[in-house]
Amino acid sequence: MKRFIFLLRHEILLVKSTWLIHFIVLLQPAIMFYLMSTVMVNPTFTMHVLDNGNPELGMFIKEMESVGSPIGLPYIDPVLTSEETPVGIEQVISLEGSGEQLKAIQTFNSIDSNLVKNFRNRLHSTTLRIWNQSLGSKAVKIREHPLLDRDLPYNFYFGLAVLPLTAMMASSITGALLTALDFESGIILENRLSPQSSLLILVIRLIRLILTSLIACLLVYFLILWITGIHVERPWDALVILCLCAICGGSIGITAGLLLKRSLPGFVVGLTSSLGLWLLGGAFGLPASFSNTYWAISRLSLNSYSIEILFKDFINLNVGNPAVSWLMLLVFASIFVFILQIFYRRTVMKAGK
Amino acid sequence: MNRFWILFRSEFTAWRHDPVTALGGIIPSVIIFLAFGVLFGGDLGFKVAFINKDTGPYGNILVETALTLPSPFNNLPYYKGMDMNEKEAFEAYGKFQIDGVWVIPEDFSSRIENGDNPSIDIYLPNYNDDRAKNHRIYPSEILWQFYEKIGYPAPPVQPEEVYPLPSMVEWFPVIGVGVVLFSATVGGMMNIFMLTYKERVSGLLLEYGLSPQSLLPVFLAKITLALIMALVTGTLLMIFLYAWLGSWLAIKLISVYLILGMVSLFWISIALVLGLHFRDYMSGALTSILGGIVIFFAGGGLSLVRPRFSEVLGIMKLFPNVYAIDPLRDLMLFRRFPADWTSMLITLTGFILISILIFIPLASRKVRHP
Repeated sequence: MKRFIFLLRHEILLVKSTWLIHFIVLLQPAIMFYLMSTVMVNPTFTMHVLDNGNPELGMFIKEMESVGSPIGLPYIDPVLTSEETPVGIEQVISLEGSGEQLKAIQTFNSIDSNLVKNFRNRLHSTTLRIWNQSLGSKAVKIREHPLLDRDLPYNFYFGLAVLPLTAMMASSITGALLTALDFESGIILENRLSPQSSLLILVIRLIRLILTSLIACLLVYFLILWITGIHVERPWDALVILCLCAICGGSIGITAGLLLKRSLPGFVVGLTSSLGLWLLGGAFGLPASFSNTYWAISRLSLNSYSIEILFKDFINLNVGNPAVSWLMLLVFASIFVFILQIFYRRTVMKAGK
Repeated sequence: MNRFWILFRSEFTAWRHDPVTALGGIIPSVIIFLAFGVLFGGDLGFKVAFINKDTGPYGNILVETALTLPSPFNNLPYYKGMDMNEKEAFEAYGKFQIDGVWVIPEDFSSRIENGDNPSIDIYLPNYNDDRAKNHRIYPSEILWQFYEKIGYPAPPVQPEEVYPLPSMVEWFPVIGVGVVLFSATVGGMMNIFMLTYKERVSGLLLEYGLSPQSLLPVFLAKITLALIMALVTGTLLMIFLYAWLGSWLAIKLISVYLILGMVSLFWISIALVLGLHFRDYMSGALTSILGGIVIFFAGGGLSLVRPRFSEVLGIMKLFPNVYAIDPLRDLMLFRRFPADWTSMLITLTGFILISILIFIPLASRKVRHP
């Protein structure tokens, strides 16, 4: 036990020689989450309306302001403008005509199809409200049954998806770098010559990487709490999930370091695998909400299973089958650790030869 | 000039011997590109179960309208109908296997005919307010067309659209161009880090520092090679974009390369100093590459910048990517020359000048005083 603690202490003290790398790895996901949370999709879109003095403009603006969620944010923030063409703005609506022959002409700037869709939807929601009022009891009413009693901000989902990324990225990058440094400084040879089991050293490195990841995750968690006000209800569950993600990330990183033996390519592999698994594992929404191809690919990413369980841990919502998700996470972690220990043994045995 | 070529050749040899690192800029870019392609390049229609209990004709008309009305996003319908009975539908909805359930009641048609407050029920997940928003506003277009189909009186306000281009520009290509710029930037930075690192390890940097010769050819050779790699990386991503979309998008390739080169040059100068300055060069590489990813996501990589420039984060305006990305999209997607070409060139030149005037002397000082 003494030896174990001594080795762990030594691993942790490696921070001293690589403190800047640790500082960056710990902060980067939090910074990325914070910056992206400020630019991520917000359901409230600013829509410019030409102030052309049309007498119906007041009514039209009022209807625009009414489009929104009954348990969340408004969807339109109408802004009057004197610009007839959309210069420096995404679109402008001009209300033309009078009485019962009004036209809402929506002139777009060169924007992509996603924005066109969003602006078109919002204009139709406004004009449909006006049509429904004129139809009276003939209008079709939509009775809405949302799943939760309030709309959760997209930033919450995004934060949830960033947590497994953080756990993986911190451990994979640090793991790759520390292992590459072992080669660059000859420590790998010392490991071979040591009478200690090489697996003990490996386990200690993994524990140390998990600790690094958890600190990075804690920073992201505090940001989620600060931005969305949503806190984790089952912290121990979440902790175990993030530890499993960190084990997978750490295994990938150390394996990359063992194979490439140099820090820069090792870093590239660690970064790329974390980012790739994040993007393919539901980074921007539950995979089932996207195409079937994406959903099928997402099943190969541990991030998608982690997100599903984190939903339960944060807002007590069952997404998918939690038992299957847990099982898959354990399978992923076992496979990655198994592959790692094979490579580690082989590489350490060859060290110095 | 002779000295430049000798240095260039020696840098090139180092570059050739480490292809994994030299390609380091390509790997993250390709992964990001493919992931976004799979994520946003496919059919994103909502998977919805329509439980039509209506005994009359209008329920069918409503369902048919919902399943055929195309979204401008990709010209595919907003909804994909799931063939399920009510029990299966709610089970699947509860497990998040489908996006929502529409229930059309038995008396829907009769209420429409009698003008007696017809209604439908929509079950929607709102764990994400953006998707909940779509569930709420897509039906407006569906109902609009439904009203027209069943011959309701004309609407008081008729919406019309004017789009400035002959065809719609899809979202994934917009992201794709962002990845092209990202790849060029990261490609350049990775290479300058690699070259600096190799010279540091081999002691060549120390020799440069002790040499009475000017350091300009040293930096010039290094920067030129990194710039070439930036353009090669950018070109590879353009080829990926071409393969994905099926048509060669870029017109005026020289202009495209000019933009990619200018932005890369800004970053290469910074990366040169970071690579020299950080005692542990990896810290510099980490900062730059992770910073590049943040700038890609927050600085216009995912959407057009020009129409929402005021909403761009202030800190992002300190980097050239924000100013270069939309002119690049003009050339590659909208097939037109950017209207703000001259002002963009002046802005990018300003960035390069600032970068060179600040960072090259810093790099020089670092080599002379290691």
